[in-house]
Amino acid sequence: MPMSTMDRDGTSFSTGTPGPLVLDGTTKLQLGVLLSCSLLIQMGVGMIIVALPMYASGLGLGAGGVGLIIALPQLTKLLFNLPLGYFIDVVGRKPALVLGSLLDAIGQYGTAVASGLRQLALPRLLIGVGSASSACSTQAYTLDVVGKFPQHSGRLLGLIQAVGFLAFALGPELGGRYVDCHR
Amino acid sequence: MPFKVLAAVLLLTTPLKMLLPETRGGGGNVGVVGAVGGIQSEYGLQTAKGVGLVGSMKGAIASYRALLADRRQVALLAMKLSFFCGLSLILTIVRSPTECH
Repeated sequence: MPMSTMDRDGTSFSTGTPGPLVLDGTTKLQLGVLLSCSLLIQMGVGMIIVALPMYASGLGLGAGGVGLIIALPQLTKLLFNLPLGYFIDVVGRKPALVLGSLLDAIGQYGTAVASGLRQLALPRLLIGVGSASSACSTQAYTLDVVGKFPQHSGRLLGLIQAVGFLAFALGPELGGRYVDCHR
Repeated sequence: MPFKVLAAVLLLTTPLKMLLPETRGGGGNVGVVGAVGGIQSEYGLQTAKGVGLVGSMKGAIASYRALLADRRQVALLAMKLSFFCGLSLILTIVRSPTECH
């Protein structure tokens, strides 16, 4: 049974066992889409982490090249994350979610077909913008959905994180097998 | 190849994402962790719909300034920063042992 109490800051919060979690159809759709997309995308990212050294050596890049491939998207993420976060609050989550995925896909394809470090730069920077947009909007969307069930937020966030961990367990395994087959 | 797989996955999941209903309309007060049905923000953050890019950026800077004035928000930021620093280290160091074998 939930009970209301206050912490030292005077913030009110509930303690005790929360009631049963009942999800409506819309929330089930939202969580289903978020979780399945997250599983597939994070598996792909996990695959790439393992295959990255092989990919870099195929382009004639050393450890510095691998570092640059990882660092370039982070640079645009850093630059675009704050304005994109604000954009998501102004125009909504969905446009940023869809647009971010498309930009990310274009960047990933550009990375796949690049034949040198110069050709890699633009797609990697684009990946940063796309993934910042989709990551920000996904997190905001998730919190919007989870926020409808404040007493079950721990359980729901735990489920979402568990799917992420599953993806990071499966992705590198698949990536490792791919590298073994193509070594 | 894995990059092409990820590109295909991202493209395939886009129509799925388009099925999602929007959870937030533009404008109004913005909650710190994303607004749910127009909750009054603890920090009084405002979105700046219709004020152009410069106005939006000014609003964004003001919002982040208000957030960073809160010790709890700074603590969250520090936790996030430490996590990603660790992840970056693992990503670059994990290559060495795999190359040894």
